[in-house]
Amino acid sequence: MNLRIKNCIWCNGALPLELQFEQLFSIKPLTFANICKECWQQILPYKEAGDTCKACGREVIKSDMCYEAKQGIEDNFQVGFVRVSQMGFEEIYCYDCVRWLEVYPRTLLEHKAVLQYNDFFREWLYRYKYQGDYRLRLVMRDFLRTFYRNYVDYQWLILPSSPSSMRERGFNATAALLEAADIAFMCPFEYIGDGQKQAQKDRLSRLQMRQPFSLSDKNFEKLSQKIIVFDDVYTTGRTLLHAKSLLREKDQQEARKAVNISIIGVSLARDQQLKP
Amino acid sequence: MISTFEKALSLLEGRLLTYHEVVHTLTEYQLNQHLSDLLERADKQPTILTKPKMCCQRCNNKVLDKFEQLTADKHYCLNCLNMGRILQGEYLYSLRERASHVPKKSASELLTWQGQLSAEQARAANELINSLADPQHPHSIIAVTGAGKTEMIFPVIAKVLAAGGRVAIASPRIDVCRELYPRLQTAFAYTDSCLLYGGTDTPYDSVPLIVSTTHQLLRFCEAFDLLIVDEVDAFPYAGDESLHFAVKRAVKSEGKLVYLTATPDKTLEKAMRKKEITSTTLPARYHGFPLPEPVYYWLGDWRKAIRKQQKNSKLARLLKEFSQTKGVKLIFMPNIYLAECLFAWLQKLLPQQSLACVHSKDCDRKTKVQAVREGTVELLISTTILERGVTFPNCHVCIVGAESKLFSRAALVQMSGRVGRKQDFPTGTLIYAHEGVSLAMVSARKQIKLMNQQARARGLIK
Repeated sequence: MNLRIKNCIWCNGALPLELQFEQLFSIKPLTFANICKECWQQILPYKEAGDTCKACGREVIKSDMCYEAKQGIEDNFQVGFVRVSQMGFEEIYCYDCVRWLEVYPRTLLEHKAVLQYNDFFREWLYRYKYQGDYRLRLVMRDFLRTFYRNYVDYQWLILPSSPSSMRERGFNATAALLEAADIAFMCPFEYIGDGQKQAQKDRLSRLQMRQPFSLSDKNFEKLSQKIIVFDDVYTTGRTLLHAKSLLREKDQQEARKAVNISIIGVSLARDQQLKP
Repeated sequence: MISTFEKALSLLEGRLLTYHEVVHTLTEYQLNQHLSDLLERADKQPTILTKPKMCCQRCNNKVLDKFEQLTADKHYCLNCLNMGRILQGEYLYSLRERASHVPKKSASELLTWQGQLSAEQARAANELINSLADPQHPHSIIAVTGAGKTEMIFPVIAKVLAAGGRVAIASPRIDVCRELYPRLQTAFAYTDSCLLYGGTDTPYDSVPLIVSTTHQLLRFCEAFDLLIVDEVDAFPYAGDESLHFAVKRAVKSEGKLVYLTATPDKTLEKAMRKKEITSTTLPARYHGFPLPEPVYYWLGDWRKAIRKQQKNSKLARLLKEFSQTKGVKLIFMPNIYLAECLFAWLQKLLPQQSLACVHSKDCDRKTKVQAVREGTVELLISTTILERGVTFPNCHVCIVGAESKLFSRAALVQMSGRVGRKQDFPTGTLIYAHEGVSLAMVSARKQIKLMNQQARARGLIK
């Protein structure tokens, strides 16, 4: 625990280090908040409210349109499409996921968000990832911890940064987050990439991006049956799906394993972008 | 026509940039092919010195607590983080200006401003031009609000520009910069100019005339022959040592530094007493009318009145009466939360008035201020962000909660200075509505009265 922090790492306001009554008697190590209450309240855990996409959790407005009839409204990301599942239930999917369903099986799309995507999160992402303020990994520590409790039996995987962003940023954004939250993880993938920085690409070129990762058989054998692939933000789902489909391919190649592995994608938040 | 490499060189002249910033600047002009040549030509210095003491070479931060460790041997500076991360082990690139480009016009041709300086303004302008001979000491102009500070710097800018020098006008406030820039553009129509602030759309260009926030000066090094800092006592410049450092570094060693303000703070007053800074004082407004003096008005518990939306409170009665005044009405509030609460209430209380509310977290404040100027909004609730640099004709001010400790003497004087700035409407209502008079209120009123007295003694007021 870094006791040097005396100001809120988010707003730089004063941060009183108050000893709680229960801490006097607790045998747990002392931890202090590193972000002040006002800032803390702006971070909201993900909650399913209203209509959300069944796969990625994006908030959508349900439309009566069948997903086959999606043509013509391509730039409206708020529309939720109805799709009848194999079991006969009506399920709502967002525009991105409808398109993924044409390429990938439904089980591969499974995604959970830790937090709501709001203005705070957008700014946090900017300051953490693009400005490179390494301290801000601590902001998400407790939220990730809480989330982790429900997924302890999973093996957490992260994705490698491209060498150029690693050089620029100086740290792996997702690894630093999990380290701060004290979650064990590994990175079996290798970055082979296509050299372009993802955040700088527009939507279309992101979607058309080729598989930037590779996975050796040796690394794959180390993995367990239940896998979480963790990323910081879910924008189109492209990156996570690349990683997940790679795992799935390997899994199907290996006949030794009797049961299919289960893979969940987890990100801090689902980008609620409204415009392309 | 200069070669593209010359252009690339000129973009780095007088600047102090990280590698990423160099790349970014070149990308804006599609000159990336010159990157390696340019970096070779440039002076290179490490971003963070570790010996004898940790020191950020961009913002001169030496406080160990304001460095964060990234990896074992890599720290970054937290003090100037919002200007882009400064990482240990990287370099800052700069390039000395090679030769000044002398324009083919004289000072009087460069200045396309049609107006006429008043006798007092001309006196200040002349003293400013004379002070150019002494680059060792900064010069300060202490001029009351509405004295026409901007106009009196025009002659000296024209003179420096005509001699081939580079000029920058910097202010701590973005709003002040935005306000200044169009005025300078029209005053120097033949001169290329550029406006710099965080989040601007227009990229940096190597032009002779720059309007910038003081923060942006962190990216300059020995760049300007004349640097004018407007509103030196405003947040965040006052009390931020790294910005003071940046300003001093941005001026060439033989260049001149000028401070402008209506409300000098203690450090400036002290430096003036010690004769480290020469100064000119202008106690009267350009139109020759005295500064409006504030009226105190006791409100009682006005926070409660807002919270409970009491229709019979003194606050409600005052604001109802205040809203009857013709012209632009400004209501200043101590903080954003109270401003928003009052806004919500006044919308119910004064349904026939067109209201708006601005504060620092408001993204639309540019358009709202514009709406006030166009007359579509008559009553504007604001926090201290509009205390400086804005001019509305026929403006009236009511400061609610004037006793708040967030309103310093300088803030009160500046807000009072929004009233009666135009020749056509030289007076107006000015109310300090309070719940107990504060020391800052007393000294603000005292200062306003003192300036009026001085002006009267010198026969400057009609």
